[in-house]
Amino acid sequence: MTNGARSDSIVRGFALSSVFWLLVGLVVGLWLAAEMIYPALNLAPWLAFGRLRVVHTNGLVFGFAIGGIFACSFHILEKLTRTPLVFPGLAKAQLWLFNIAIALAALSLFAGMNTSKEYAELEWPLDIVVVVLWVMFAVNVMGTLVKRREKQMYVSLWFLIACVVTVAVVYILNSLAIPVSLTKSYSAYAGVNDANVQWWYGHNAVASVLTFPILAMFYYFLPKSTGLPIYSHRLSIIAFWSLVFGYLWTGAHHLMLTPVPEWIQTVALAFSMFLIAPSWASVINGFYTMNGNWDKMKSNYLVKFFILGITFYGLQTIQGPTQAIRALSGFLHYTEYIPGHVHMGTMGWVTMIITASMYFSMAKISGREIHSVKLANVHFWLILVGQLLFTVTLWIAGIVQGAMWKATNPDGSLTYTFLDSVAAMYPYWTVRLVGGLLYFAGIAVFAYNLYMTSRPKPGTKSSAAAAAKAQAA
Amino acid sequence: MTLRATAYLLFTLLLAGIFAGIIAYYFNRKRYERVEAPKHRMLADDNNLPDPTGSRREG
Repeated sequence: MTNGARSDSIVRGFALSSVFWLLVGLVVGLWLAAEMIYPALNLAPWLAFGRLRVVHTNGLVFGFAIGGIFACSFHILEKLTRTPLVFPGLAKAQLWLFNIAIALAALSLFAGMNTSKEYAELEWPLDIVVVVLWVMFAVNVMGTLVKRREKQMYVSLWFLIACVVTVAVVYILNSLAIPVSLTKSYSAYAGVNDANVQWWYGHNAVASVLTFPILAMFYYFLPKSTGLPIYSHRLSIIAFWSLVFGYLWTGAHHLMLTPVPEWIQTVALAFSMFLIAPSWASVINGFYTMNGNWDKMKSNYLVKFFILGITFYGLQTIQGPTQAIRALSGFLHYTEYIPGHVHMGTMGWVTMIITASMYFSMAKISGREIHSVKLANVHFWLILVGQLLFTVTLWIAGIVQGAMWKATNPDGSLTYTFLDSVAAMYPYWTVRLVGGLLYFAGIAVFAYNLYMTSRPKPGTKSSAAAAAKAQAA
Repeated sequence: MTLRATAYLLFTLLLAGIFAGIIAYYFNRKRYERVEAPKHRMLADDNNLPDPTGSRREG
């Protein structure tokens, strides 16, 4: 097997693994949504809400998103450097270790082993496995970049480098802990410092995992799927440096109106506002790329994924900074508005871009067209409608919730009890479950379509090798 | 102003200066062609990558 064919099989392996963890994470998410309406489903301890929620978030961020990032990064890296992966064997080992780590992570979280730090819940032995995995990835990315045959680096490669470096820095620093047993550790930081480091990590996990590599995919796959060069490469480079410059200061906007020093909150608020500019530079770059070619939204099934994806990114990056404003944070924080915001980013921006990128790369490496454009369109509309139903409902629910918590009578007493606000949420939670079911149906269609597309084309070397292997067996 | 406050100020100004330098570098008209070249090159055919082992790579 040549290096090229071997790395194709690695891309395929990461993509299919990522889709598997996507399905698992969404089933858990649906169960959680149902628990909100039918509390009897809260089957403690293994299926208790507190345990399932972290399986949902970790499964989707680490299993789906990072699996998809590995798949698409290796594909992009090889194409943009015009160089095969320098260590394909290491990447194959990384694929196996990745799936083992995600399975162990899910089991440990189901079992209640949890550091209690958001998006960093894994206990220290698994943290070490995550770091080993990341080093394996970094070695291949950096090694291939060093050996590249293209002197100038396209912007997607810059975003990949930022992803590799920042994930390592924020994950390791936030996960520093003192182990007391194999399954329990305590954070190396205390009190307010712990909270500050945690949200410095928490927000930059969003930057490093759910922004930089997804922008790398957007900047690569939109031009490749349309044949149109990106509107301005230098604008994309400025957007890149501005994002890197600004993102690392914004974590404390998760801690507005808390005991964290006020100046830190203000710095985070200022940089959150600053980030609107580079975020929208990418949005504008995407829109201007399509200038004069908007008919491709109808004729090319992939374009609408990328354009709607970058549109949700634009909306997300306006909504996020506004939530950092103290008055709005005081009203909206801890309400359903926040999961509404997060899910527009994950279900809209991240998933639209990753799934479209997988369609393109899988068709390319299997040497065939996509299995069904019709199914891809069904997938698109189901996830779009499901996501909008889900997120808009939660925004409205959050505003209702915040208003009920803040409402006071003329004598200063609270108008509503907390339970009143919980009861008021039931209709919204029901619509959220319906939105989630529609979304899941769309992803199930995607999984089938991608699997069918990923099969090697009859008559190619890969299919002949597979047939010979089957015959020998 | 204390030494620490001065150091913070200088560090902030240094970062802002580097950032301004990056913008000035990339938006210099002399470099326009060079900076924009990768967006055209990435569209070129990339189906047949060279293989260090000498064997031909597929799609």
